[in-house]
Amino acid sequence: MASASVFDRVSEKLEEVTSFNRLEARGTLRIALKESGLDAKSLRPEQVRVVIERVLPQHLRDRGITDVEKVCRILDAHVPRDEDLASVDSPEAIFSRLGSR
Amino acid sequence: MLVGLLGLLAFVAASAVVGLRILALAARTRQLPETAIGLSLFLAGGVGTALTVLAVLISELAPHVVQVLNQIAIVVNHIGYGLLFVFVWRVFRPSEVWAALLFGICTIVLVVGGIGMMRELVPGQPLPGRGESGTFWFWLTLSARFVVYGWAAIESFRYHAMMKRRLAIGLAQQDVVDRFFYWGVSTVAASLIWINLAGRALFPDSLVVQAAVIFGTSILGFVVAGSLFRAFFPIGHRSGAGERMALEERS
Repeated sequence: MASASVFDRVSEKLEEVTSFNRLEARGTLRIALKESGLDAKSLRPEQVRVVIERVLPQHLRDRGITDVEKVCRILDAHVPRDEDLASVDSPEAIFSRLGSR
Repeated sequence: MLVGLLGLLAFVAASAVVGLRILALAARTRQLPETAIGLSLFLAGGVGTALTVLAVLISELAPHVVQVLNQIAIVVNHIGYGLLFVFVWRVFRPSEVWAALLFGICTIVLVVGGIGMMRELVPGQPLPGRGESGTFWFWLTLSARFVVYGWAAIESFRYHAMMKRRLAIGLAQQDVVDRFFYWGVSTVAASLIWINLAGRALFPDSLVVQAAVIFGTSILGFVVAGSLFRAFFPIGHRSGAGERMALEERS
C-alpha cells in the first residue's frame, strides 16, 4: 500500500542513520505523527516532510540523538516523491472538495 | 406545533439545498463520496422528511394517499440512510474489515426494517412510532439509523481532533478543519433526533413527553440546518494558524 511505504521508508532510514533499533525508530516516528494528527497508514510525502522538519527533531533530541539536523536532512532526502505513489482520496481531500465552490 | 414545524422545515430546506449543491459538485467530479452524501442529504433530509410532514399536515388527504406518501417516504429515507453508511465507510474506513462488516449488517437491517415498516402501514395512519408505540420493524430500522449517524459523528470528531493538530504545524486549512467539526455537530443532532423519536414511541400517552419531543426535535432541526450550511456552504474564507504559517514561509 502506497501510504504504508512512506512510513516504512522513512522509519527504515531512521533506523539506519541512528542508533535506534527497528522498534525504536518506528515508535519514535509514530509518536511524532500522532502529535501532528497524522496516521502512518495514510501518510503522504508532503506531510512527512513537515513532520521531519517541525516535529521529529525534538523527539530525536529527547532520545539522545546527536546531529539531529543531519539526520533530518537525510530523512528528508529519502522521502519518496509524490509522483512515485498512487494518489489516495483521504478524508481531508474529500472534505476539502465538499466545500469547494 | 408551529415551533416544531419551523425546525422541521429548516431541516428539510437545509438538507435539500446543501444536498443539491453537493450533487452539482458530484456531477463535475464524478466521485463516489460526494455522490453518496449529496444524495443522502437530498433524499433522507429533503424529500423523505418533506413527504412525511406533508402526509401529517394536509388533513384532507385520502387515507390511501397518506399511505402511498408514507411508503414513498420510507423508501426514499432508507436509501438516504444507506448512502450515508456508504459515505462514512468509504471515506473514513475503506480498508477496515470491521467497517465493511458493520456497513453490511446495518444495511441489511435497514432494508429489512424498511420493508417491515412499509408492510405494516395502515391507510390514513401516520408512520409507526408517531403517536403510538413503536413496532418491531420501527425499532429495528431506528437502531440502524442511530448507528450510522452515531458512527458518522464519532469519525467526524476524531478526524477534527487530528486536523487541529495538523493545523498547528501548517498541514491543514482552517475551513476544512471546521468542516469536520460542523458535520460532526449535524450528525450528533441527527442522532439526538432519533433518540427523541424513540422517546416518542416509548411514551405515546404522555403529553409532556410528546410536547418535549416536538420542541426538542425542532431545536435539533435548526441545529442540523445551521451546521450543514456552515459545513458545506462556502461563505468567505477563514485563514488559520497553519495557513498563516505557510504564507509567512513563502514570503
